[in-house]
Amino acid sequence: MERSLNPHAHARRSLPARTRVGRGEVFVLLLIGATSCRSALQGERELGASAALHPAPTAHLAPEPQPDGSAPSDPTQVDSTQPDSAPAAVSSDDPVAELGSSSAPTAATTQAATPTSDAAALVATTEGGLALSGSLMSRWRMRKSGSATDQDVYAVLAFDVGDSNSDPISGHFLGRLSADIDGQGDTQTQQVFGSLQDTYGDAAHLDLYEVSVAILQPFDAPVRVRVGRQFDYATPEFAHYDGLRVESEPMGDVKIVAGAFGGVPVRLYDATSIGDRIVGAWTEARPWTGGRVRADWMHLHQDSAPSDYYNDLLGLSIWQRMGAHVLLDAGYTRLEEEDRDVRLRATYDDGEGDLMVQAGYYRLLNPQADFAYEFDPFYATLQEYQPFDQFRLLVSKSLGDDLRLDVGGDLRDLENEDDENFLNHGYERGYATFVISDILARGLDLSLTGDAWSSDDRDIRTWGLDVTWTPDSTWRASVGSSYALYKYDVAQDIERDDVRVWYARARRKLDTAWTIDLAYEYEDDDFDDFHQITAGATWHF
Amino acid sequence: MAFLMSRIDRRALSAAALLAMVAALAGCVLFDGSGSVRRSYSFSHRVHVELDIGCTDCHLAAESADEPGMPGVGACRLCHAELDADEPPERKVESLFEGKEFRVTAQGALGAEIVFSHLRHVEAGVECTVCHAAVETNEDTLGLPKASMDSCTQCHTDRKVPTDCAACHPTIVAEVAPASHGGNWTRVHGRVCRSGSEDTVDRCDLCHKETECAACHLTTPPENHTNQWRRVGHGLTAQLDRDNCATCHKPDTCISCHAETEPRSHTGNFGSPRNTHCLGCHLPLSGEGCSACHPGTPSHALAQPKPPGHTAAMNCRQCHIPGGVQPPMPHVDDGSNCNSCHH
Repeated sequence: MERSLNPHAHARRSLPARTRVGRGEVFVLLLIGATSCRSALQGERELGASAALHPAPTAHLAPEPQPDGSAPSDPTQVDSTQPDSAPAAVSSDDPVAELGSSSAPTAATTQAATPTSDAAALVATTEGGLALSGSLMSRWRMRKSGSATDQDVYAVLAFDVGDSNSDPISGHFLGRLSADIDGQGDTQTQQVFGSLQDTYGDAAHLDLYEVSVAILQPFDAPVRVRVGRQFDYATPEFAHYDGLRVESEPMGDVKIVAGAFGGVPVRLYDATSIGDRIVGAWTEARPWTGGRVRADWMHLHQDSAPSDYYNDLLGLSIWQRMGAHVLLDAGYTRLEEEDRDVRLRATYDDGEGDLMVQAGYYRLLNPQADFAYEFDPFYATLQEYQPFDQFRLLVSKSLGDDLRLDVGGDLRDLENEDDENFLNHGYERGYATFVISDILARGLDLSLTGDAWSSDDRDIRTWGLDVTWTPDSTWRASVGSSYALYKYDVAQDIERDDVRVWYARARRKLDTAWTIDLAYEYEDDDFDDFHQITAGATWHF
Repeated sequence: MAFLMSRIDRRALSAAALLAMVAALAGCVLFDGSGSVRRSYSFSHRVHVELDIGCTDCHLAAESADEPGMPGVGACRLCHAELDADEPPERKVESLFEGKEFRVTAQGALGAEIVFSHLRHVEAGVECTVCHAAVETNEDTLGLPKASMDSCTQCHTDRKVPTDCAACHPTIVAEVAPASHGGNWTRVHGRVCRSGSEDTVDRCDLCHKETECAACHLTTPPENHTNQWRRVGHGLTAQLDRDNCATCHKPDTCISCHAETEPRSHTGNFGSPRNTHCLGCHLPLSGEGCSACHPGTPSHALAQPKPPGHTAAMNCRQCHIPGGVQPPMPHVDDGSNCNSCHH
């Protein structure tokens, strides 16, 4: 590995490259999106209510049922004209039962069989094209603090074309368009509402998170290929890159899978990716009952002035199911020539939602500093990361039909007490959430949450109260408040910030495709108070 | 709770936490294992298949009703009355029955919530072994493999019959979250996603599209990301648990803002001029000097010129130190060459 002598070399990469989208273009895009969505929805409605219930293009209406109520004759379907009900249950005294019972279905079974008949009215097919599904969310946000105001609009488009597990080819897209629509550049406003988005320098910005095409078993080879901008969540550190990923189908009794990827890492706030690259490979198998093991290698090259980073990370993970309810998992990574960390976790889940217990242990084995972004624990801003042990415990328990309690805690202990400083802390943390369902009326839930962090020179305490009313599947309304208190030590002066937030939110599901939402928030902190209104619409297709 | 214990030695707490974890894990395993049934009986399909006994000889309704039916003790006795004559009671065929009911029933059956008609599948020409794979070699009914949902949907797809949820599930639909998604699901769902479990209940992709992960994680900030958080709170939390930030953010996120926007605490006279407050974050400074914090500050190009009589060859640090013969430097000594600014 070649390390930069200068820890701020990251910062030298200057401001990100801009994707220039004019303000007018933003409005046009939003308008086109909304209009096309509406048009598409109306067109879909004309197909009939059943199609709207199954909006994916893979489902379309089957021919009308026959007059006698039976399903249409279609040789491709399972014959649904057969009676759903089985012969009546035989008496246990029936001598036939001695020879063999037919285990006749109960009334519940007979009743439950009905949906099958209904479902048979639909013909699912992939013929004639790939399924398109996704959502388009548009949201307007207005903020006001004193005389400063700010208005932004956001549009998030996410869709999948086809299914990468079954279709020969499929596509995936996720992008966000954000725009400041009322006066970026106003100095006073920027001081109050400045944010990450403003670092792009333009009033509007397009973030492309995923644009990829997946090919299943190209040329009948037992592999899956994905090309384009994509995420890999299974690697020891999340990989986000523009490139190619190849993964084999499971092979043999132990289901060995091997894969590799390579490309240019995506860093949304970095100025340039010229000279950067990421490559990796992994293999995993299920060599014994309930067990899975995985080995990873990742290589990052980051082209930074004045010198480059070449970092290699090796990872080994293992998962083991013990019985029906216990899952153990462990992981180890090695970065460059040093051990980086180990992780152990045990989870008990009764599967009924009644009790879940999770205990975890993490140890950072060596100081971490100055690596490529994907491996860098924020060294440029937070400096070295010192070794520590961390324990975590979470218990979630149902206390009857209408009560639930989640409690948890973290304990972090620095390996060397001398490492305790402004940027490396040991701490204790505890949190609890208590939920009462149907408290005064059906669908009215109350939740209380508290969270407390404590370290040598700072305490953070928060609590929140939320009342949510969900009278039916179409309405959801919430009111609540949260409070946070930050006590910290800057240059020996004890600082104290407290924040109160009050909110009211409502969401209405208009139909199977459209949802609208509206929210108001009031925040009062030690510096200012803020009013915020958001309004949005989401179209699911 | 935990914050009340802040004065207790953290090492002792760590040891206690480790012990508690081990105890909790052992408890879970034992508790879970206690539910398993010890039994003294077994049934071999293989033996019966090799005797040319057909499926419908025991499962009488397998081809005529929605449920295949289980053999009654009378049917077994047709052969076993003679075969078991000399066997002890625990080895007789009656040991397989609890009263008139076969003890091990529905091992190959699907969940009670699933609608399944044996009759329809038989009439559609589906062979028994398509669903009951390897039943002809099965030695123990408890080890009878169940048909997986993947095999069901694959077969449905091949035969062009419905594969939507409602085709088999009367209560599970894509629009209604399963019971597991209540409670603290938001907090723990990542564990399930990354476990790689093959259990149907853990399969996110049955209802969720691939882009949904990123759509939520990249565009939905947590509740605590308030305006105060944007200005102060995030820094305080990041200094406690930077791993938490790394769940969503890369270092370029920090640098993007902080390269031009100094922390809110960096107001005039931050930390007083002579202390080493800068070094708390910017260490060492020798690489970049002042530009580490002030990349665009023009005043730094206008550093006070050297007083008359001072030359570039002099060692400034010989005199300008705390307690020295001259006033100490009015700024942090980052080890730079003084002449680079003071011309």
